[in-house]
Amino acid sequence: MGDYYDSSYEVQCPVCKGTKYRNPQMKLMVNVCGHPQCDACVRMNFIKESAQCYECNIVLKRAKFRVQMFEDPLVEKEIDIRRKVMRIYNKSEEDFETADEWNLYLEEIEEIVFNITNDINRLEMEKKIENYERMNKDEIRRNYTKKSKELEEIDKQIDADMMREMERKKWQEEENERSKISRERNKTSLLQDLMASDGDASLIVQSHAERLKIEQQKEEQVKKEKEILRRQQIMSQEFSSGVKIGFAGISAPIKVQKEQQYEYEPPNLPPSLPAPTWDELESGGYLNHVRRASPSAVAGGYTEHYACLRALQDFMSTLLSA
Amino acid sequence: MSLAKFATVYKALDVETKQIVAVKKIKLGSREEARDGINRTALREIKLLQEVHHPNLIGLLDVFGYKSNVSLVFDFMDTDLEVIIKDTDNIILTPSNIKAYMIQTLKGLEFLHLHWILHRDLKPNNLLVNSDGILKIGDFGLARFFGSPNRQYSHQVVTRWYRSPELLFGARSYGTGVDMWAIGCILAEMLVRCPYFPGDSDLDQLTRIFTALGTPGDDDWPDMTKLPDYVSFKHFEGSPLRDLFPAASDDLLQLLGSLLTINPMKRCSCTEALKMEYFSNKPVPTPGPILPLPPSIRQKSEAEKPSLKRKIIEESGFGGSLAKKLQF
Repeated sequence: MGDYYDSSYEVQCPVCKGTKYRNPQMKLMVNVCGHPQCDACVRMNFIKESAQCYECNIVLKRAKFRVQMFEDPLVEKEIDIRRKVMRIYNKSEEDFETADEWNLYLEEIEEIVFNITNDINRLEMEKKIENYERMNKDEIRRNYTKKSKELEEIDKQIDADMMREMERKKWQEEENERSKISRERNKTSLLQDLMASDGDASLIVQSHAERLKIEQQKEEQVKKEKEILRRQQIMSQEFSSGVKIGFAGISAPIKVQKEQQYEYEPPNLPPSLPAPTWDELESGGYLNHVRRASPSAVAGGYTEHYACLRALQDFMSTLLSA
Repeated sequence: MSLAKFATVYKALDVETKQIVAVKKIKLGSREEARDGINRTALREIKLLQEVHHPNLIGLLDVFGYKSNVSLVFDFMDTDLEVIIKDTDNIILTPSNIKAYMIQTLKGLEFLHLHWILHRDLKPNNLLVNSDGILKIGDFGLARFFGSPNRQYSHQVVTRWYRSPELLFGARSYGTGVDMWAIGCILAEMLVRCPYFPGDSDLDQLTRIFTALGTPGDDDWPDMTKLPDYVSFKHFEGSPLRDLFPAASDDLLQLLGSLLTINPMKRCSCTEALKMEYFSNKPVPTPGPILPLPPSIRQKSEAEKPSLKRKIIEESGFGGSLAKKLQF
């Protein structure tokens, strides 16, 4: 294998057989059916807005194409299907009386999504959805408006975040402005005092400096109080509602150690069958089975030892758990 | 407690266990980001932290969502190493103190590396310290699994001052060396009490490193010219560490020299570092509770101990009997 081999080079468009290696700008696009093709092919084949999929022959619209985000196109397809199913199966946890019922409902959704994605009993599943839609028409519509309320809530929160940020900035600016003005004022008053009085100049300067110091302290005090108030406001805004927390457990308290000489002890690791050590990888011939790291990777501190050891360790620990 | 770019951190009291915790509330960010779902760094943090538990790694106690917000509940930590290093007026870091901090950091990191995780953002600011003198590595927003041969990794990780030469040269495949270099920079920072390589650009960063330690030759670092962003540098002689750190002991310099080796392949690993003489030699590391702390925290933690009455708002009623929701 070459020195600068990148696994994403292998990505190939099934229509024109172009690869990322030859055209680094190539992007794979997917539609509702989950069969990818590159952006150039989409442009060519969908000049007339809609055309058939090269694989499953269903009619696709150009506007529905989007860049493939996940390596596995099946995932893209699932996302589409899930979105469609969730539009109909849109109940929320509060609509159920017991957790079991809610779980059953979620299970049903997952089953439908999985089956449609993998083309198992597709028609039956679609019929099931249709039935459900007919039976629960009103509820679906009601939940739909509720959902948009939730989105509104998100929007509101973002707006609130932004407002707060702006307020903070404004506050900061005002603060700067104020301190600038007061500094100016102090300076002019000092000059005036120096001009008007016949006393010792250094004494006047000193008394001014003292007064300034006291004023500054006062100001800082006020600032601190304001800041505390501001933060309390933020806090009460955000945690004012009942949040459910199930405690996952607390990390074990650490024993206080007496002053003692340090001695290395290997950390506790989960039980596993013994894998070869780093040094045995070479002598045991394990390294012959992994791709050699390129010189540039070695210069960056990566060697094939890492990949080899990790694979061996992963294997050994799964052996034990099996 | 703090307002960062991606998250706001609150100090909170769990009313069930009477334990003070830190709640990191992930910001939604822009509308587009909110539509994408949960913030990526937060997801990484949750994913990795759920798998590792070690006294020197920050504990993720819980994750909860409310409306579209995600909040992460962590062990509460009073301060961090950056505050301690910067507080030169009140804190004297003795060799014993430094040794104690180093041991804790390396133990935590060793555990991470053994689980095939790179932290990728080690800096004093992310080494959190509590009033018992326990140091925990925090902020796993950039952490990733490593050791996969096909993956390309970003080299734009680690705050610049702690970024290793191979990252500065744009390496896309790297190993534990990136974290070890950062540890070396942190150790140097504890000794001199200010950032040791405070570069103001990537090139300036490399220049600072090479002027101090010498420009590497082809023997020191073979194939460095093959790194993506390699640029050749003027030849600097560099100075021996002895001259750079005149007050440090020999065993410490041995450790520091090994951590700040320019060729990542020759840099030591956590386990190798912990087995070095420096750690088993005298002076012995300071026990946690008597490690120095900024005076404000020392006072506060003492005042807190008798009563836990605090003006903190947090609610954690409602048992966890409700079904978990898994929706995309």
